[in-house]
Amino acid sequence: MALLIVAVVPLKAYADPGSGWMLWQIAGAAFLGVVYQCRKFLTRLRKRR
Amino acid sequence: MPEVPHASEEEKVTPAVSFRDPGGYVSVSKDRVIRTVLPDGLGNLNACLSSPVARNFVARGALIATHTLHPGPAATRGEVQVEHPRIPFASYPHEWPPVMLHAAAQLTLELSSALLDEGRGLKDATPTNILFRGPSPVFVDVLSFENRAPLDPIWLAGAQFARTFLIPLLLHRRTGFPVHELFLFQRDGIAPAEAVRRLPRARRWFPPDLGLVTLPAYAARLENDRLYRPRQTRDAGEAQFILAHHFRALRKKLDRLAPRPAASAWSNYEAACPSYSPEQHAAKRQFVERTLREIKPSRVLDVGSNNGEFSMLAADAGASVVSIDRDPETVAALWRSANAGGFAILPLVVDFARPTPPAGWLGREHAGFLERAESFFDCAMLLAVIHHLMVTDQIPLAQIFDAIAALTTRWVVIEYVGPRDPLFHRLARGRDALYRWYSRPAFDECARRSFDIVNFLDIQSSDRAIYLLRRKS
Repeated sequence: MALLIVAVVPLKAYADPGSGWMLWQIAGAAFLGVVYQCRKFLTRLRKRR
Repeated sequence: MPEVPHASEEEKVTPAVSFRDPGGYVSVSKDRVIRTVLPDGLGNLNACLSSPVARNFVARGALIATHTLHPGPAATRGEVQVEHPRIPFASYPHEWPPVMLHAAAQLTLELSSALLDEGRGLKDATPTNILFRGPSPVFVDVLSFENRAPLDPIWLAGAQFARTFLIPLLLHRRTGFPVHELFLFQRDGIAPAEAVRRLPRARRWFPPDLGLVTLPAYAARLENDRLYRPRQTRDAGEAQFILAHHFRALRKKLDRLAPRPAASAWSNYEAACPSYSPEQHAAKRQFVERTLREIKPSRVLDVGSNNGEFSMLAADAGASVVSIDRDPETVAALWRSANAGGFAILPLVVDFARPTPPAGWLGREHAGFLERAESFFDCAMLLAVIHHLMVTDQIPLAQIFDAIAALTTRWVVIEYVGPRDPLFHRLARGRDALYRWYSRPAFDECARRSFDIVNFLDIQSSDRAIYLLRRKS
């Protein structure tokens, strides 16, 4: 069990990530990333005031 | 292919058939399920064993329990062996009605979402990660767990989740697409580019069809190598925010795709083609109920279960029941009843006259129905089904009894439906001459080749009777 606890293994996803779905997910992630950063910026701004 | 663990001569072990995951493989014997975890899979196993979410799911029976075995010879190769409790009867997505696929999708998504909060996730999302214990889905692939890269905002398994759950359910909703047939021939579901052609044109440009199928299908034309580069956000909170939103969106889509109860030619069969008066039906029900309470079977196969009335009697008598029927809508209705009422019934879309064949690579990934069922049950019930097998499917009576004898180790509750019965006559469609030989004595003679007749009930004023048979040793 000790071996299990210290084992650090790189991710080995073997499921086909698709192509169209992948692109669609990346586009969604990019959009949500902007939303997140905007929210974070606004939160910081409010705190400064 | 990796070698299977050592098995004693009495303990027949199936070859390792779960070979796709580089993290390990599973070997199944009669009573034990052993998973060998290869060095590449130790991180995944650890992600599962150390997860509080996983423990919670195990406690409520939604995730298979895992026990680490004492280190054996495999430990020298850096491998670990774990054992899981055996799910009594394995079933596959090509035997599930859409509502069971939906239940499996809900569990997969629920687990993925819950794991997100502790920095973990699922590396694949396929219905083959799920088995059903009675009507309840159980997630069984513990090597699917992974520790997520904190800055990664992409759920790589999302595409597989769409191909194998969302898109088949969408096609079923739009066109009545038979999802169970899909999985017999296409392990990995249906890609957006293929699905878009099957969608009605008018629906393609509206949600959820647009986001699930149409846009990904067009986006596939822009495929290039850069697409698959690992992505990173600026901070872990951003990745978590994106994934949480993604899972919520998938959840909403899944909720919209929940299969609705529908009628089929068989859903209302008993009402449309009444084979019994209320008194006759009560006598039949009473005989079956009393018989089940006397023989106390532990594992019952109900062939041609229709609305599951007799499956529920068997479950009430303490048996664990597998109910098979060829009609997905009646199977779906039975699953809903069993799930709502907590009955130990696993309903499957299986045609006894054309049972599920072995499937997958070399025909070894998913055993055929008969292979799984052979000698598994101690009681088989064939009520109001023998005339369909004999007349509609034209299977000789002697062969039907041979097949039943291979499935049950002890009891059979079977209904004789004679050629003078109105439904038999209707099914024969003018070919009654083919069944001139068929009568109670002919039925009894066939039955006696493999079984003793223990008891029977003549249904008054009909050409029907219910038998209790015991298999000859």
